[in-house]
Amino acid sequence: MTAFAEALARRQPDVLAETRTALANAAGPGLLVEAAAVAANFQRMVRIADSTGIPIDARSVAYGADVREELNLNRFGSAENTPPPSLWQRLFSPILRTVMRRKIRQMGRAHLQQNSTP
Amino acid sequence: MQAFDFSDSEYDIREDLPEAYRETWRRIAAPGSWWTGAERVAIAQETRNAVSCKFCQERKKTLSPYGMSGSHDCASLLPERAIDAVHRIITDQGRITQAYIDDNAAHNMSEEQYVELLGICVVVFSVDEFHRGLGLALEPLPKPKPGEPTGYRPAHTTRETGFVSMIPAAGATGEESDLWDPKRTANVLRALSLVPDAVRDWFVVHEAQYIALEDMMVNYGAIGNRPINRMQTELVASRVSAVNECFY
Repeated sequence: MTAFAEALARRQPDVLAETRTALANAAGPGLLVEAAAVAANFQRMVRIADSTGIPIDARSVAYGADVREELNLNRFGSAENTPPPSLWQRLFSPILRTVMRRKIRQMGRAHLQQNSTP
Repeated sequence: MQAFDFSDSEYDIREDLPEAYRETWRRIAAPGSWWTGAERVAIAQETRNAVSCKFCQERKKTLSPYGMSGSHDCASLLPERAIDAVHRIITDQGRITQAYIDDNAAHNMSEEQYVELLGICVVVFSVDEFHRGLGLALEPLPKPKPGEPTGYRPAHTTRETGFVSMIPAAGATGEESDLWDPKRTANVLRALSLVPDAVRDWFVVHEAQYIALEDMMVNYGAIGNRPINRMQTELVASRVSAVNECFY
């Protein structure tokens, strides 16, 4: 699935054809259609973000700081659009993420309960 | 035959996708806020031309994307600066700068026109990429509708972030109250808000291709009855974003 997404984004027609067939064979044509839709969606989103120079949202700067550093995402040219995290934000990044993860789990459970109630 | 008829395709494509694409085509053909219907369809055509433009391919390899002169592979009624903007958005978006947008504004392509043009480019590109992904022929572009642009600009905008003016986070009120909850928004939602209909254009395809906005922070499992779950969805999304070197 990631190979298919990558081939689409890299505009590699031969690889795209190969990965399309491989994904359909491995996971079914239904999942292939969904993967194509999501990949197409994010071909749009990245262009909106970069073409308008938006920074990462303030609330996300702190809790993703260490992950972005670990993945070396700061090498991307569009990283210039986001001010670097402060020392405080870097130090508290793992703690904030733990809190956020717990909060997201709670929200997810509430969503599941809401949708499973007849 | 109606547009986006996938009945002959080898894939079983859920109906909300072609419905969203038909609505997108209808919206592109109509006059916008700053471009006529004919110009909007020309922008859509230029989006397709950019994908195979030889000049863009050469420029992408250069150290500076602003020092190379040449001509794009194009065939449209659009001004030269609009053609160049479309091609950069599609082929080299990571190197667009504030100075580039300001320079365009100083040479008769306003930031309002730039934002609307961007909105058209990305939505057409997204629809086309779905087709390319599945190896399907691209849908013919719609016939433009007559009429003049409305010239609508939101009453309250700010330029405190990004390269273009946007509605403030708490400013989606009145005519713009449908855009987002003033208590909760994101920069990517605000990015096109100088032209509110451009935000609405991306809402049309966003839910069909990805997930409903209201579910984004709460749904981490199945997405309706789709054969893809949220984790798989994010895996594809992050891979595409990484290849595009998108920091956001």
